[in-house]
Amino acid sequence: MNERDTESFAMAAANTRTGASRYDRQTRVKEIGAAGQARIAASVAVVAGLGALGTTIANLLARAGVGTLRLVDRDFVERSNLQRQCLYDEEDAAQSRPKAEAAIARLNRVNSEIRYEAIVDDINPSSVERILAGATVLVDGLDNFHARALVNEACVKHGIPWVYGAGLATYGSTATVVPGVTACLRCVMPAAALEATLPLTCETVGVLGPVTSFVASWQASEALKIMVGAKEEVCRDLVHFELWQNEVARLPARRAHDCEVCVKRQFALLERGDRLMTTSLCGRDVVQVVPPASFKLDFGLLRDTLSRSLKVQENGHLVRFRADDHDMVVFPDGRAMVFGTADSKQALSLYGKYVGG
Amino acid sequence: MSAPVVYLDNAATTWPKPEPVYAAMDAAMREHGGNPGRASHRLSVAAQKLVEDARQDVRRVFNAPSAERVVFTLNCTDALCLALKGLIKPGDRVVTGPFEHNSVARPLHSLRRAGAAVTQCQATSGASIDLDHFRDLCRQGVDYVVMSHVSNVTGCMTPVGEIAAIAHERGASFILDAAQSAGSVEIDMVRLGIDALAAPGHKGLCGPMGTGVLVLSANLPVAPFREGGSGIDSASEEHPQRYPWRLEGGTLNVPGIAGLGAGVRFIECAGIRAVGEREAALARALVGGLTPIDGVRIFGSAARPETGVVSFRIDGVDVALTGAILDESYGIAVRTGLHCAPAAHRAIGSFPEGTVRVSLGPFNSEADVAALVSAVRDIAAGFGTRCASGSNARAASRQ
Repeated sequence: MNERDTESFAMAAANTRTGASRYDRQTRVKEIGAAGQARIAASVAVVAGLGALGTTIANLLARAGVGTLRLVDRDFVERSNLQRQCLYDEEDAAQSRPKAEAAIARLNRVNSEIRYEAIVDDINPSSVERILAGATVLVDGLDNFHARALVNEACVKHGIPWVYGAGLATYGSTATVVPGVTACLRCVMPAAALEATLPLTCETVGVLGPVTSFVASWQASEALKIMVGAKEEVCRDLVHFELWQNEVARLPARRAHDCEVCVKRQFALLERGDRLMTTSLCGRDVVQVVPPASFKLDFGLLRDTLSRSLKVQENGHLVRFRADDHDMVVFPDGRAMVFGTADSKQALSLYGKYVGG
Repeated sequence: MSAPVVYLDNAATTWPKPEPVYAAMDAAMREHGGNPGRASHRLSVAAQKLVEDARQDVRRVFNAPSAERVVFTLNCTDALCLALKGLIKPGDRVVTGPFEHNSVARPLHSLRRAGAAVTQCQATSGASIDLDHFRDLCRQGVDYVVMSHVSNVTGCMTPVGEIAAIAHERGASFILDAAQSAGSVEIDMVRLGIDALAAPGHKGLCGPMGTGVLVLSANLPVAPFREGGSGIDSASEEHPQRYPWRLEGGTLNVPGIAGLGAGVRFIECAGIRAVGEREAALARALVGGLTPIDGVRIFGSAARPETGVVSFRIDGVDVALTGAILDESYGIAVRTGLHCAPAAHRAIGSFPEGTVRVSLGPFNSEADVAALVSAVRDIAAGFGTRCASGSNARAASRQ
């Protein structure tokens, strides 16, 4: 018997004694095996963002037996999440539970043998390294490129692999970053593209559930490769799926020889502090969100995009709309006022969803 | 966001500063960079001279009894906390005014919880102090009267001389919060009978932010809470009891104090009465411009402002949004909301939404007032469309 046969035999023998193991079908896959399963059980996976991508990823990783699953999201469950965010139910939305806590409550009923950590916080320069601490891999369920650029810097800085993923409308894309081995996000996307997300978000142009499921499954598979130590097997291309047009494209992602992040190790976003500044107005339930001077907002695009789904008033000086029970006013330079809250995290979340960020 | 071109938020801090203030601060750091009172070398002595000169400037501008009792603080709040918490004990009886800023109201609230008996005098319907009620309260026994000189919301002025006289008749000490008046209204501590005066350095006195003063008359023993390095009596375990060291533990903000001294000299030179009258005249012009605009409501002493502060609201346009539009689309800086003075807003009927507050400073002009009036007219007229208005904003603000 060769080594693998011996391992299979030992595993089969063990299953006979104790009944089929929870991970039997996974360990039977030759790329995993008992040794791979042990590595998965010793891993810490961070899922950053618990929307459609993040809940699907967390579900797959919890069931796969990741040792510690750290789930991060600043938001609270809303009814419009239920169409695709697979760990939440109507009760979570009715109670406005924090997504990280609702996800863990659900996953605990799926797999109570692994460790969970909930972080109800924003991913920003002061939190991202704490969120990443001790991670084997980070899987991206974020909704904006600025946060991804920040995650990229932090992961490169600490040598932690991460798997990018995004889905919108009928298309999605993904890439895997193994610092020092593959291209990093900054190698393939210019700084300007990472500076801000256009107001094209799930809230404004929608997203199909199958798209995010598809991307998330790919990401979870990449994360498993990293956790079992098969880093050479990760996909080195930027992969793009268009599920309505039946297109799949693989674009080679080459390391940039002068990449500021993974070659020069300049971590500008990590070092420059919070980008979006918020101020609560004295004694009022209004939060003002002020982007940096470098922020470029396409005011016409914002108006047109929001108009597709919301009643928007606009007069050249400002755009006003109501979404998620909050009135919002946005000015051409990106400054916004979010009414009905004094909570800066909630204001940032609404800003991210409807203006970009 | 472009820099505001019309600055109308001088009640928060005056801006710009007079040129000599910038120069004095620069020189303090470049040329007189020693630690004052801590050594005999020339840089330390030079810094000490800057501080003592500024102390004399502040004494002079308020006609305080002595320069030793001019204590430099971080700001007006710091000065008020030093005085209130260093003087008022459990069981003491305190009468305060109806328009107080949180820098008076909050320390008094915690002193009340610690056992002081604090009562608040009423306002009249004309947004001034009800002197009859104040007399009644004092008649019931009072140890300290604590009041603001000028409301930071309405600009209405307290009759300081009368208040001090009533307080003294009852044997009480009078503590004045001069946050909005110092530098804009002439204050003679001796003539008016002010026992302690707290003032910011960065408002009417035109100094930099991070400066303030507590000025005491001779007989008020304020207990220090900040003890430590003083440069004198170093062998003693006790913090010095002598003023100003008693209340000035630690290294002072020398560049700030140098700037404050320059600001005081500037404002004296310009003439406090002249500056104050000019600010009030601009405020009257502003009220004159705003009053005819449909949907604009002015709060406080609408007919004839006594100082450079005017509060208003545009019907159907949230005050925070009004402020943001003024900044974004017109480059005009004002402050909106409750201005850290909820009691004043309750007294004038603008709680909880607050108001848009315009506060004029020594460098404002008629053109600034005209720019604001024109912008408010636009916004009240719907700002091109009715987009900026609507009841939604107000409904949202109450959620």
